[in-house]
Amino acid sequence: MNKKTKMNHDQFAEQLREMIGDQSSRDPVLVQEGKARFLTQAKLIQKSTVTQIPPQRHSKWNLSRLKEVKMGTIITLIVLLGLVLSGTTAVQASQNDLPGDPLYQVKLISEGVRLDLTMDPEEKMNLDLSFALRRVDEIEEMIELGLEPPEMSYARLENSLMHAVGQAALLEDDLPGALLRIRQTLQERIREVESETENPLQTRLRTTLQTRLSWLDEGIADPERFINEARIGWETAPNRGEASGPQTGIDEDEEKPGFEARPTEIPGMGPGVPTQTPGYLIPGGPGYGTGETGGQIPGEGNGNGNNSNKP
Amino acid sequence: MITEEQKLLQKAAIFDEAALAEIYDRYQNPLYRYALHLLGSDQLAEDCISDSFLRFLKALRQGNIPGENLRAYLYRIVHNWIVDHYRKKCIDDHFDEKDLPDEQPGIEDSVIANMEIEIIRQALHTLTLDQQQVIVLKYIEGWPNEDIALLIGKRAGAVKALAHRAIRTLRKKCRNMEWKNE
Repeated sequence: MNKKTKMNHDQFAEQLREMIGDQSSRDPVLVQEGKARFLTQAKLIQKSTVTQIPPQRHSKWNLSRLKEVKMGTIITLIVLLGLVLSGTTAVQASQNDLPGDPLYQVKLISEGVRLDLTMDPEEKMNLDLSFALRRVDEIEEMIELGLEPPEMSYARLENSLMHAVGQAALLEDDLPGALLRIRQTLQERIREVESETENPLQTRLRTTLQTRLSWLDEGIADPERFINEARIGWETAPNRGEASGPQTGIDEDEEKPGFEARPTEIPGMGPGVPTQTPGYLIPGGPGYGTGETGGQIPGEGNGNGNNSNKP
Repeated sequence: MITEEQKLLQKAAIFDEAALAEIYDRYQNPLYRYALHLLGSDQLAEDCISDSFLRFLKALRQGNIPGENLRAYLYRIVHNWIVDHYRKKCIDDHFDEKDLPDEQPGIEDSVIANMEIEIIRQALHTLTLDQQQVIVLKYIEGWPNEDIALLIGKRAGAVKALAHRAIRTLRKKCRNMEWKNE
């Protein structure tokens, strides 16, 4: 199958069909037995009477009893139930959405809620990492669909990675191990990004991930310095004031390519020098948001220098 | 205007033996292939088909005649059976080692082509159930995106994206497994 590495998905799918499509012929004896059983069952079921299930629901409302209950309570319950049910449905429906889809913000909000509800730093780190991988999936999917992923997707990807590393920093004794796990996950994902294509968008994605990989290597090599630099980084970050406080949401416009809040505004998150340490690394420290649903991507603010989180 | 399939269904609804036999003949093999690809076991696929056709009869008896698309209706019964099967086994990721497809005896001595088929099958079973479903229906059974969308309750565009991701992941898994075997 080595020769497959150069073929496209359609060719692979064609080969897949040829190779396993006709492999699953059913035993003719079993087919005949199955058919005979099916027709016998049909006769038996046809002869059987349909079980009369006693009515489970009231056919009529007992209005006199209903009056005893306060109407306000009923309405409140109905509204609450509706909100819960519609919310759950929306969250489920949003999970395959891409940036720009109507329910994409619901997907991000649900991720933020999950992060907020998770207390253990290691679990939180894993969650952040899985959300970063989701962003990679989304970017790849958009590229495959011929769409240009918005800048916010890259920013969110880097933000989730930074948060994951920030959580790893809380596991002080196990920091090297945690960083190594993040690194391995990232490296595996980089391998999955197609390498045979010449698409510049894919190249950009791979470069973004590789830059973070190099940065993680430095942390693994010298964890103590890594943490210190992370702390000092915040104090000395030249453009920390650009990060506004937590925002309430992300505008629809931000999903569009060309949005101005570029990830390069984030300290240490630009495409250039990977050794630069992000200033908002330590969770709980200055500038570290409480979740990513509010769009607390450092550098994503309004640029007016106001920062409610600033020390 | 009543289609040929609707006429068939009307006869099946009154348990006309010829109509039921025709439905069985028409759909048993594709349904079996679908179940086999997702379950990875001949025996399980047989059980699945047998139970699914029984569920179909019970639905007919209760007057639940499927709407316009009998094929989608039957596939949904089969798919629900498969989902129930994995739920009953309480396997979070659906793919415990024991649920991998039965290993073919003497696989190591078989020809390279058979090894490749085995690799693809094993790789297929490491995908999510959604991804397996869309690969089997789109790439092996040749269903159009619109029909798959109707079956799984998603938009055709989402099916296209899901299929893209699924086939790409499958390729990568195949490469990884092939690399490990070398």
